[in-house]
Amino acid sequence: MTLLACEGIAKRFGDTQALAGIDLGFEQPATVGLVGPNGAGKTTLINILAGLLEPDKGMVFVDGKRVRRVPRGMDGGLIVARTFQETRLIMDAAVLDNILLGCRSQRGMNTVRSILGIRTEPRESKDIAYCRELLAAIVPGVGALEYAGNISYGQQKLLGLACCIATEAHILLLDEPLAGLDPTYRGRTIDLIRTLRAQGKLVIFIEHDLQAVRAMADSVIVLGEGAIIAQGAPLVLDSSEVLEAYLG
Amino acid sequence: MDYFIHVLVLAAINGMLALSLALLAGHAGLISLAHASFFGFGAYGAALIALGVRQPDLAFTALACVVSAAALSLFVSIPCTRLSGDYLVIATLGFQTIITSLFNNMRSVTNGPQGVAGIPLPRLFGAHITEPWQFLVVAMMTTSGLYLIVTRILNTAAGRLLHALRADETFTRSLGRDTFGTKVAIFAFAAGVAALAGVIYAHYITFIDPGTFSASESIVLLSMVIAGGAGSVTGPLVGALVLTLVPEALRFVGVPGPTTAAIRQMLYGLLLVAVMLARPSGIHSSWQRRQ
Repeated sequence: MTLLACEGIAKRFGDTQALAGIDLGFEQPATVGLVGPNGAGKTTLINILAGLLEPDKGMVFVDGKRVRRVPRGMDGGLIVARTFQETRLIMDAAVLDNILLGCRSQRGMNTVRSILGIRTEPRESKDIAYCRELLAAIVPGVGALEYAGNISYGQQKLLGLACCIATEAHILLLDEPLAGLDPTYRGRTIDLIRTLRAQGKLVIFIEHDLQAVRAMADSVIVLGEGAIIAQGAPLVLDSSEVLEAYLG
Repeated sequence: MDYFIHVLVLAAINGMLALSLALLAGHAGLISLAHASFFGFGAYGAALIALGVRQPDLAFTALACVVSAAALSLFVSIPCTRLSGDYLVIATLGFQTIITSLFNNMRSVTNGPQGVAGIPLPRLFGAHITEPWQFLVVAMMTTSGLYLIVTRILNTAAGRLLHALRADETFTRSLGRDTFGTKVAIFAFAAGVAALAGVIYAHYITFIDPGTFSASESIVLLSMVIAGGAGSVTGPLVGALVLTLVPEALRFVGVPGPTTAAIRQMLYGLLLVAVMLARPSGIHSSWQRRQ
């Protein structure tokens, strides 16, 4: 069954047509590579799918239902979470606080309950233990109480991914998760994305390194000037349309 | 002695205003220049209730004004959820200007620029509040309670959320946090506290006029927050105390003639500039660093 879909998505920024009528459907579980030259509209599409940007035209569907803003499930849980091309974290907060911010059971009325003291301490301790485990698994060697702004760029990228995973969202949208990483962190990130797929998630990622896309993706969507140039198995990356879009 | 108590009552009321504005501007990053309008709303609300009901109960008046001010804050917070930084400041200043204009021009309700005089002294749970020291107890207890509530908020998941909202709203939203609801709630809380301060002020001074709740008062409140240290809980209280005491102390500066008031204002302004140059993170933060 199609978990995430969009129909006729169009978005314009001033004179630039960022997206011009995009129709897509994604099934779960899968890893989908979103590729294309700079300015192709990849990040705009991710922002619209994540509910962070409203399209001028078109609709986004999750589980067959039209959604606006940040989509949520019937139980209030988050369905779509995303990471950013540049590292976006709360830099002057502890690493643990960043992950707790994404933690599912810290959201909604639980925030109010925590102020009133209704929320029991064991629950809070459970969240902290869960986030510490996540941190140790994804960004080993980083202290939970270190400031996010003090850790290395590679560790910040992985921490962003850990925050995203802590939301327990079904769909993860990752904007250039490998950009600027050394081989060790690249390998770790690729393994993590494969693990997420094995856990049944739908992972859509933007990536310029076509070798890495081939290593991670079940399928590929190639965008160029706001339109879909090609889509299908990673083999489409070798097609003349894609090579022309990248190399001119 | 009465004068000393009087200054402390004003400092405690300013402390409530500064602490609530600090939660909004310092911790959530929502800089508002409309705080004095909610202060005035509470004061005028209390005056109207008091003049309508002889010997009003302070708890009832406070509850009515706090709830009404929180509801009124929706007119600012909902349109302003899309704004941040300079744009938010300008939008809240616009709201403040509208409310000040209403205080001045709704003569049948507010008595216009002449203000409302003879506001009756209140009762609190049956006990009459008539003496300055009794007002001091009420104001200090309310400020202390607010201090505990704000500390509690900042030490829980809510504090983490406010911090994230200030640091990076898009990142916070991307993790599924309700930034819209958080902004609306924190505006309502701050407006409610400002109204509560207004209720106590109106009953204590027994006379109110629009000049007390103008945009310049909002700027003074923001100065208290920034000068004291916007990022802490104690800082705004220190800022409120210092910026309440300094103008009073300047009364004793021996400047002759009609320029006295202008010179006092200039000294006050110079002091603010000096504090910002010497202690950019606020008076209280520098004390913390030394410790």
